Amino acid sequence: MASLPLHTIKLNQANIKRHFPNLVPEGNFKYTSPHTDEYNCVAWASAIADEWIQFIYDEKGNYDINVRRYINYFAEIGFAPIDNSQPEKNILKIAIYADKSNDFTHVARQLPSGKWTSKIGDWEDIEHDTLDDIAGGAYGKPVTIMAQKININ
Amino acid sequence: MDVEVIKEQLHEYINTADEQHLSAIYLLIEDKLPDHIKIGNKQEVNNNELEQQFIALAEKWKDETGVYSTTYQKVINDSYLDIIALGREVVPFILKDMEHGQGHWHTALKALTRDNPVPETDLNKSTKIREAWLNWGRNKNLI
Repeated sequence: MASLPLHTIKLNQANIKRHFPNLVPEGNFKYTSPHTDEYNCVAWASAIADEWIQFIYDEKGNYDINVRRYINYFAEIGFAPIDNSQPEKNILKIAIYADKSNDFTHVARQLPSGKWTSKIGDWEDIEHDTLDDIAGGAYGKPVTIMAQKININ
Repeated sequence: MDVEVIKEQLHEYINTADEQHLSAIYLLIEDKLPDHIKIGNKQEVNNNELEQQFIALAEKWKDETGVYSTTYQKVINDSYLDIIALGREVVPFILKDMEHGQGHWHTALKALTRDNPVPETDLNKSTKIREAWLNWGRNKNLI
């Protein structure tokens, strides 16, 4: 008989199979943090580790998670659209994902190595080789790349 | 308590809920509740059975929605709404889960208790939401 506390659900093999058809355990990604609901992917891409940043309702109170609202948010904090996801020195890039309805699903942040870091919902942070690694399932596909200048000494 | 009384209470809750939670509760009332007569029969369910129902639903919910990055996508889920439909007796189980660091229970707790100890400014802070509800539970001797 099951008992409380609940079994901790993580990004396990079953969830990978269900949500991320391109993700290969011990292949194209690695775990880089424990699971946590202290922050989500939007916060993680914004370099914030203690908030769950989301935009769900518009100013009239209507449900609206269209990807443009998240593009607007990242524009407000200094990112601008760019036409490629290639790594560039002193340029921080993010990739915003959307589903077939163009609703926001996820945002990944590029690392200096050119690989990407993603906070997967309530689960772990992962480092993945390419943007396609987490596409094709729950997160749809990357629809916008944005960038901002940074100073790395 | 019959279904009509529950519905009346939920409609009352709607009048005081913030907009972020209206859609979930609307679904509960208009779509889910008529099929969940178990609310009206909850006196016949003992605490152990209720705990087992809660655990099964909560683990299914976390498994299905853990991947999502918005709270809305997490609470518009059959298992989450089924947990709310189990009634107020599940509140101690939810709080016990929160004691072990689990989140996204704010919407369910608001619906079940028609209370809200979380300041608007803390709604994006999982830790503060959890602390506020756990303090609320301790003050009510629920944990």
